[in-house]
Amino acid sequence: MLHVKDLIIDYADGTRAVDGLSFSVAAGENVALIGANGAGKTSLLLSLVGILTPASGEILINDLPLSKDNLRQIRSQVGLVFQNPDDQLFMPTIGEDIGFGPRSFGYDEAETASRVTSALEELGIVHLGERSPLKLSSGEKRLAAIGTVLALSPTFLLFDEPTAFLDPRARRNLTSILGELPQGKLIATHDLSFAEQVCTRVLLVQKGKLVEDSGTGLLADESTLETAGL
Amino acid sequence: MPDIGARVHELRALENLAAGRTVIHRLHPLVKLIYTLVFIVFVVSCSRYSFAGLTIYLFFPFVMMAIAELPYKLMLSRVLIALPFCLFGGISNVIFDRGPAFTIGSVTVSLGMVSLATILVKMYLSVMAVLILVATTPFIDLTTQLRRLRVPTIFVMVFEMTFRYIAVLLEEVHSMMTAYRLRSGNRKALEMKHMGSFLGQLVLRSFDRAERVHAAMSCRGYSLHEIPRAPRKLGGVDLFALALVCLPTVLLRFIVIG
Repeated sequence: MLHVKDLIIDYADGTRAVDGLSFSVAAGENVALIGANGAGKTSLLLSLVGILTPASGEILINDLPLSKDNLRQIRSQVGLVFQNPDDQLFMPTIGEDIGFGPRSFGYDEAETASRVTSALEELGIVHLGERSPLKLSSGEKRLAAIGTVLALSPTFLLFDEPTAFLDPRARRNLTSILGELPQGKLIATHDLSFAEQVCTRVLLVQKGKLVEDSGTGLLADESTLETAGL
Repeated sequence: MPDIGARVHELRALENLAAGRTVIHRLHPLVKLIYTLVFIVFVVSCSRYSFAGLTIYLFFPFVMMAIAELPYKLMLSRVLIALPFCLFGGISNVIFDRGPAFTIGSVTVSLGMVSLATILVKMYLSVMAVLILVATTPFIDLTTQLRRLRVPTIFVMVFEMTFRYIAVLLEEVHSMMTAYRLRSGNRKALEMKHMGSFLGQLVLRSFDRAERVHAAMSCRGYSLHEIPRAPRKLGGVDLFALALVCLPTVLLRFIVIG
């Protein structure tokens, strides 16, 4: 269970990015996080992996509170896929990039190699293992970025605008892959049809506050979405 | 328009060679690191006029390159990058150290010229040793060993970040230059009057990008304060290989060169 309670995040300039958010995501559950630009979606995701430090509130991942002392454990359980895959792929080859996480967590070479192979196979991108990220399409980069977090066997996956930069075919492929991954997912997106296809629950945020927590029926409620700036 | 991928590929050409499977590639990174240090120390510690003696070491890099199946042309071209710096540093010896060293026919070779030649050979040998190390050892294994050897974290971090961000920086330059050229009548070069704002923006964008890349690394367990595990233990074969290459290096230094 990913549990967030009364979370408040302030930027350095004093702007409140997240204002008292509370929600939970169960294991294996796919939850969409929607809201207008600047609603606090990315800040929330960054705080869930300890990149942004909340001003107050509580984050529990599988009953483990997020704190400086157990950041490594939390980061092995929660994988964040960034909006721009270029931020996430920095090694010479995709295989090495996927192996970066396991190596950083101290796994030996045999275990790292095994995890790299599993991640590549799970996403159907074995052929990209020796390729440079610079030569890949946006869809391939997106899958490779997902592979980099899957190699740590997380129980929760966080996605920041996963369909950004994707053409329709790559988007369909991603939809299919995300539907098959067993981890619980929190997906920040503007792509409402994608959210409807992948998720069973929707969190609507506006100016850092949670204004709706309901089923995917919300995605058809135009007046509510428009009020929230979507 | 410069192909950014090709430029980055050039930068990474040596690292790509490290994926080889020869006997030198398979040696423990620590062995290669120690031998490179030993080799450089022994080469650099030779006297300033020991040109003739130092030439004995010249075959070392060629033997290593042959065993590691490294491309001679690529490696030698990389060495040339350091040449101007050494020439600039050593040219003063030719001017100030004019005492005769020996004569060839009617031509007298000065001590300064011998000294310059010695500097160039030392440069060639030292740079080649480092290049061979980089071309036969994955970068991550090198930095892991440096951290395990307790080299100050800040040095290793700067080393790692510089290496990682070269491609990132090039990408930023490329996208900014593309935007600049499209709105500047397709000028090929940046005008001086735009240089300040261009570089300022580049710094800010690079900083922003670096923050995001660092966040991505941290999310996957990267920490400066964790000493990474060695890829594998040092074996008997590794120690034998270390002795095998160190012995002739040391013997040559003390017996032949003196």
